[in-house]
Amino acid sequence: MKTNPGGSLSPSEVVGRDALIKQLWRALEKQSVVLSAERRMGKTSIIKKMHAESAGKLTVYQDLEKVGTPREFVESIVESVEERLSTGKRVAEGFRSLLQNLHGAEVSGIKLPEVADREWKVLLVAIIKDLVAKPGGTVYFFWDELPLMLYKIQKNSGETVAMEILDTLRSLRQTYPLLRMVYTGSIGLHNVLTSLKRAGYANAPINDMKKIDVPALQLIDAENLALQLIMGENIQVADPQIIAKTIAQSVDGIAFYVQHVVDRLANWQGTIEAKTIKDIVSNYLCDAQDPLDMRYFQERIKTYYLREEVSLAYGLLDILSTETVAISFGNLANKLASRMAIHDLEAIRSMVELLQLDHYIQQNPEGNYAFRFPLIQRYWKLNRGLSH
Amino acid sequence: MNKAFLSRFTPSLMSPEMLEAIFVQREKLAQRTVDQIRDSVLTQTKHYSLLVGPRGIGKTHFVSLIYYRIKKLEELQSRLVISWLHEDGYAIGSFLDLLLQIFQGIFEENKDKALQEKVKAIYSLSPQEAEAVALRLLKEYLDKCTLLLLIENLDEVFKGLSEEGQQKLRSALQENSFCTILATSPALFNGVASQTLPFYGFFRIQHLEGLSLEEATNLLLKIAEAQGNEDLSKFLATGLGEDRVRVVHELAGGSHRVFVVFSQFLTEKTLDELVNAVMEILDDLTPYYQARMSYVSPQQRKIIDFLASRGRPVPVKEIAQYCFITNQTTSSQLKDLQEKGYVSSESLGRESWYELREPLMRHCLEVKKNRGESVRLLVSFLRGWYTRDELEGKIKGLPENSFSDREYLQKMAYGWDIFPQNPSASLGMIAKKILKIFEDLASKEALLEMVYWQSVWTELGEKHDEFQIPLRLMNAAVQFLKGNRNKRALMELPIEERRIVREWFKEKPK
Repeated sequence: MKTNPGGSLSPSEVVGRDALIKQLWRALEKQSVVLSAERRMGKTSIIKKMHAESAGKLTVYQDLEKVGTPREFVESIVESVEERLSTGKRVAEGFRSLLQNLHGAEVSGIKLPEVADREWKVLLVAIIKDLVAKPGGTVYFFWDELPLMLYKIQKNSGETVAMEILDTLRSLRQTYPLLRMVYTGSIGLHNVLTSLKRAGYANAPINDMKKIDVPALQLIDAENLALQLIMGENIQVADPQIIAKTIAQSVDGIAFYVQHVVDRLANWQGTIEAKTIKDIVSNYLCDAQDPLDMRYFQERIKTYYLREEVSLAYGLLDILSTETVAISFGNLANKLASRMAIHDLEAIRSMVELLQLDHYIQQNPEGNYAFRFPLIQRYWKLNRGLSH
Repeated sequence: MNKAFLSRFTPSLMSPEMLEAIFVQREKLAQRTVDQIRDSVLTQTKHYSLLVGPRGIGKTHFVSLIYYRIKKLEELQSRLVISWLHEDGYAIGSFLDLLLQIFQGIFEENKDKALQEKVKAIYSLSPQEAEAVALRLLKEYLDKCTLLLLIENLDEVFKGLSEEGQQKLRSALQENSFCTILATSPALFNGVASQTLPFYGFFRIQHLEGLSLEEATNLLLKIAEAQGNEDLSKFLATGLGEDRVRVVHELAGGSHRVFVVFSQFLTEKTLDELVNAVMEILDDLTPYYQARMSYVSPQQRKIIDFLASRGRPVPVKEIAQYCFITNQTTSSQLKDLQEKGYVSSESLGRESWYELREPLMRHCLEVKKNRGESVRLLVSFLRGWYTRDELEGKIKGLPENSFSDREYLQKMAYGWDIFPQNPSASLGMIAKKILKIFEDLASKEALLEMVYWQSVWTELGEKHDEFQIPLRLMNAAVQFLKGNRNKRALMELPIEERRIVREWFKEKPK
C-alpha cells in the first residue's frame, strides 16, 4: 500500500472501517443516515467503499459540491440514475414523460429546460419514483457534500428553496419505504440547519434519520495502517511495529495524519526512531505550510459561525487548550467570565454544544469537557500563542 | 565535441535521453512519482500531486522526465491515456474549457479521429449542454483506462476555473475515480491553500528545493559529459573547478535554470576566468528576468525594482515609503512575492526586512545602470574569496613565506607605493588575505585590532574599486561588534556578502 494523503483510495485500502460499515448497513436496513465527522476522518472513503462493495444493491454515489441550484440537483440525479441503470434504453420513463408535458416538447439530453427551475420539486419526485419502481430492492443514495450544496442553494436561491429541498427529501423517504439516503459532507449539516432556523425554518428535516458519528480509527487499526504503509513504501526501520505504534499514538489514530507522517518518512534521510515521529508531528504543528490542514480548525469558526459567536468559541477553546484534564461546565464558564464580559450562561451552553457537534470538544462520562483530539489541542495551544 | 540539444527555457523540447542525462537531485522523488502513477493506473487508488517551486527550479524538466518514464512502462500503456497541459497558452475560463483542453492534450498523444469528430460536435451545443456532454464523452472514452493529467501552472488553471469550475472538477474526480494528476505551480495559491475552497488538502504537495553546491556542480558535470566536453568535465571534478562553481552558486540561489544557462558559456578556460562567463549569463538571463516581472502586478514590480536598486535588505516601512504604498498593502504584496520566490525575508527584532531572493536577478535588473562594473568587481572578489588554494596570488617584488600573514600585510601596507600597477586579481588576493586575518579577529572578537586594520586599509584602499567589497565587509563587521552584535549592521550588505561576514561570526539568519 502506498501513501496517498488527500488522494482517492481504492476500497481495499480503507483500513479499520469494517465494523463501522457493518453498523451503517445495519442502520440502513431501517432508516436513512446522517454521517457526521470532523474533516479528514474518512467519511468520503467510507461511503465510496460502501458504494463500490455494494454488489446486489442499487446504490448511487454523488458528490454534490458542483450543485448550486435545485435544477442542477435534479439534473445530477437524472444523470447518475441513467448512467447507473443504463441498458441502452431510457430508464426514467415517467420522469421524461412529465418533463415533456411541462416543457411542451421531448427532452432527451442531460440538461433540463428552464421549466425545471420552477418545477424541480415534481421532477425530483418523478425521477425518484421511477427509480424505486425498478425491481431490485432498496435504493441507496450516498450524497457527499450535501450540506455544501444546501449552503450554496441557500446563497443562490434563498433559504426557502433550501428548506423545500430538505422537506421534499424527507417526504420522499416517508413515501418510499425502499428509499435510503446517506447525507455527509465537509461542513456539518447542523451548521446549515442552524442558519435556516435563524431564517424561520421550524421543521425537523432529519428527525427520521439516524445520526452516526465517524470516529478516528481505533489505535490498533491506525497502527495496522501505518505498518502497511511503511511496508508498502519500503521504508527501512529497525522495528516497524514500534514506529507504527508511535505514529498511531502521535496522531490520535486519524488516518489522514497517519498517511502524512508515513509519506514524510518515505523522504526521510537518516535513521528513523520513535523520537523522529514525535519530532515530525511537532514540526507539522508549527509548519507555516500547514501540511496537516490544521489551520482549518481556526478558519472554520470564522467562516461558519456568526460574528458574535466567534470570540466566544475562541475563548472556550483557548481555555480548554491549556487544561491538562477535562473540566466541568461550571469551571469552564468561570474561567471564561474572567477573560471576557459574558453573563449569559445559556449562550455559553449553546456554544459548548455547538463545539461538540463540530467535534472540537467532547464530554466524558463524568460530564467534563476537553478537546476531542489531543493533537488538535496541541495545535490550538501552539498556534494561539498559549504555550508557556 | 558532440553538442546534444540542451534547452535553457523549454525543457519539454529536450529528448528523453538528454532529460535523463542531466537529471540531478530528485531521483528518489521521480521514482516515487512514477510508482504513484503506476499505482493509480493499475488499481482504483488515485494520487494527486502538486510540485511547488519558483520559476527556474526544474519543474518542467521533472514533469517531462516523468512523462517519458511512464511512456516506457509497457504494462501501463493499454490502461493509460495521457493529457499534458503545457506551461503556456492556456485559454481556460471554465470547467468546459478545461475539458476541451484535456481533449486537446489527448489528441496530441494519439490522433484519434473518431474522438476528434465527437469533440467537434460539442461546439454546436449550448455551453451547459456542452459541458455535460464533454464530461460524459471523456468518461466513455476512458472506459476502464486512467487519465494521467499533467498540468503546469495549476495556479493559472484554477484562476481561470474560479470556484465554480473547481467544484465541478472536484466533483468529477470524486464521482468517477478516472484520473490521476501531476501538477506544478510556482507558489502555493489560494485554490489549494484556502480551507474554504474545494481543493484544500486535496493534493500531496511537494516543495522543490534549489540546488546545493554539490548538486549544481554535478549538474554542470553531467551537462559537460552529455555534450562531450571532456576538458570541462575534468576541470569541474577538481577542487578549483568546484570553487569557481561556488561563486555562481552564491549568486544564483540554487536555480536550475541559471546553471543550465551558465553551462552554455562554459569551457575550462571561461570557468576558470569566470568574470566574462558570468557577464554572459547576465546578458542571457536579462530577458528571462524581465519576463518574470510580467507575472507580477505593477505594484509588485515597483517593489521589486526598489529592492533591486537598494541591493540590500529593507524594512517594510521603508519599502512602503519609497513606493508610496501603505504599510498594510506592502506587507501583503511582499508576502505574495515571497511565496512566488521573488523575495526573501529576515527578521530583525520584530521587523521583517526584505530583499530579492536571487542576487543574479538583482544584478540583471541593475546591470545597465553602471555598465556591469559592480558585477565584475563582485565576481572578481568572490572568485578570489572562494579559491581554496592559498598559494595563489603571490605578490611580485616582496619576500614570500618568511613572515606571518599579519607581518606580510603590514609590510604591504607600508610599502604600498612600491606596488606596480597590479591587476585586479592580485588586489583581490590581497583583499582576501586581509579578510582572512579579519576573519580570525572576528572569531576572537578583537574589536580594537579590527578597527586598526579597518582604518589602515580604508586609507589605502578606498581609492581602488577592487577594495569596495572588502572594505564594506570590514566596516559591517566592525559596526556589528561595536553595536554589541546588533544585526542591523549586517543589513547594509547584500546577501552574498552578508554570508561571508556571518561565517566569521558564526551567525545564523532568522
